[in-house]
Amino acid sequence: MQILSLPLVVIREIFANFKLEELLFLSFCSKRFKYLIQSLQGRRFKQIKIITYNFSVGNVCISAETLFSLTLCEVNYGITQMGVFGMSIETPCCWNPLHSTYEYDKKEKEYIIRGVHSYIQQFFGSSILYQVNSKNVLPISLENIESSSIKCPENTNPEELEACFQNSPNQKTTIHLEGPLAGNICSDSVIYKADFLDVDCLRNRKESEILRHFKGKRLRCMNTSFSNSQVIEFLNAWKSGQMFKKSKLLGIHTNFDLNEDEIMGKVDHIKFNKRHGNKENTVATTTGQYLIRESDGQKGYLTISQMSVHLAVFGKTGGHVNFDI
Amino acid sequence: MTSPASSSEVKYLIESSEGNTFDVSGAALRQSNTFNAMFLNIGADGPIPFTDYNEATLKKVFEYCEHSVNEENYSGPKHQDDLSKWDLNFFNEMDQKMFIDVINASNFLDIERLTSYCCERIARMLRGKNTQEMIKVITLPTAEELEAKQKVEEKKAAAAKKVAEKAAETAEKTETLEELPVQQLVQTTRNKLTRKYLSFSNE
Repeated sequence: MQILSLPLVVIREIFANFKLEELLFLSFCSKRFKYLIQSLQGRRFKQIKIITYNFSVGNVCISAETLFSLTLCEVNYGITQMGVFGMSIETPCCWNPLHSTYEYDKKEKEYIIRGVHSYIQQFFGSSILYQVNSKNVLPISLENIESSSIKCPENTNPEELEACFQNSPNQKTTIHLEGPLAGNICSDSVIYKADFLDVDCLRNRKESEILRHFKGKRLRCMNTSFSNSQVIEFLNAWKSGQMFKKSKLLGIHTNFDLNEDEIMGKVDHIKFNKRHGNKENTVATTTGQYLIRESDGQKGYLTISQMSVHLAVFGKTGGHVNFDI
Repeated sequence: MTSPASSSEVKYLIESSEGNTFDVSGAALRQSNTFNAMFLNIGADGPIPFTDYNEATLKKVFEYCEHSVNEENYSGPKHQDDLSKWDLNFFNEMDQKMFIDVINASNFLDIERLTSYCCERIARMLRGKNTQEMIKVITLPTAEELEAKQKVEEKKAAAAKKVAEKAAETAEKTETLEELPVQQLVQTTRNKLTRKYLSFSNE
C-alpha cells in the first residue's frame, strides 16, 4: 500500500493513531519515514520535557512522564536480527512482540544502550532534558545527561562510579548518590563539580570528604553522622575560606542531635532580627544569624535545628534566604 | 437533475473522471464539507464534476455516506472495535488500490468520519508488525530499487545535457549564417535551448 503517496494531512491523521513509542518503532522503517514522522508529529514531541533512563538489574526503562515508555531487557540468546534504533541489522537488539519489550545481548549492552540513546536524542530532539536513574547497578555513561540519581551497588569502586559520568561530565542540575563506596572519590572528580550534589551518607560515611572537595553551587548531605564539634569545625573553616568556597547553599541533615547554643557559642557570628508576616496578618520578629567570611566579606546566613544545618551564601549585602534543601 | 439542497430527498448528479454521471442524495452529499462549502447554498447547474476520481471510487465513497446518513452526528473518531458489521464489510470488500483511492477521495471531499476510519484502519495494519513486515505494508522502495531509480535519473540528466549541447551547437551554426545582431542571436539561441530542454524534461 503506497501510504507515502497519500496527502500529508491523511498521513498526519494516520500517525495520530499511534502512541509515541509506536511512532518511534515506525521510524525504523526508513529515513524518509522517520523525517515524515518528525515533521508531522513534532507538536506531540514538544510536550516531552524530560526523558528518563531508569537502569536496574537486567533492564533499562526509557520513559517520558506518562507520554511514553519502553523497556529494554538483557537476554543471552534468541535475538532476531531486526535493525532497530538506526543500528545495523547485525546488532543484537530486537523487538519482542510477546513481551512488548526490546531485547538486547548482555555482552553488547554498552554499545546498544548508547546507540539507543543516540537515536532517541536525534528522534525527539536535544532540547529535552535527559536524566539517568539507577538502582543497584551502575548506569552506562551517556552523552548530554543533565541529571543523575545513582544508588550504587555494594562495594562500588569510586573509579567505576566516576566512569559513569565520562560522557556527561558537566551535569547542570543534580547528581544524587546513595549506597556504599569502596574508597574515596578523588578530589577533582566530576561528581564534586555538579551544580547540585545530593548525597545520602547512610551507608557511606564520606561527608567530611564531600564538604572539603565540593565545587558546585548547592550541596545536600542526608543521614550524616555530624556532631556539634564537626559542625563547629566546618563553620569556622568556611569563615576562614578553607572550605565550601564557591558554593551558595548547603544543607546537612544529621542523625545526631545538634545543640544550636553550643555551636553558635564557638563560632563568631552576628545576630539580626527578621520580620515576617504570619497567617493572622500580623508581623512577627525572630532572630537570625549570619557569619562573615574573612577573605571576601561574603555573608553566610545560618539556620540550625536539632537535626539540620543550613547555610546560604548571599553576597556582601545579604537578601532573602529560602532554605529549600 | 440538480437543485439547491433544502431537503434530504433532493438528488444531485455527480460526474466521475470517465464522464459518467450518477445520483447521490443531498443528505449523503452533505457529509462532505467540500460539497457544503462549494454547492450547498448556491446549488449547481448540471452534474457536479468530481473528475479527479473514477466512478467506482466515488460510488464507494457515497455508498458509505448514504449508509451513515441516519447515524448520529459525527463526534470524533470511533475505535475500529466499535465498527458495525456493515462498516467492516465495507472496508473488507476493497482491494488496496481502491482503499487508497477512497482515502484520497474522502480526503478531498472532506468526509471526516470516513477519512478517520480509513486512517485508523491503516494504523491497525501497521500495528504489531516488525520492521520488515511494516516495510512490506507501506511498500517502501528497497535499497536496490532506490539505486536503480537514481541510475535512471542520472542517465536522463546526462542525455538531457547531451541534447542541450547538440542543440546549442546547431543553433550557433544556423544563426551565425543568418548574420543576426549579436544580442538577438544570443537571445534566440537561449530561447531555443530552453524550449528543447523543457520539452525533453517533460518527456
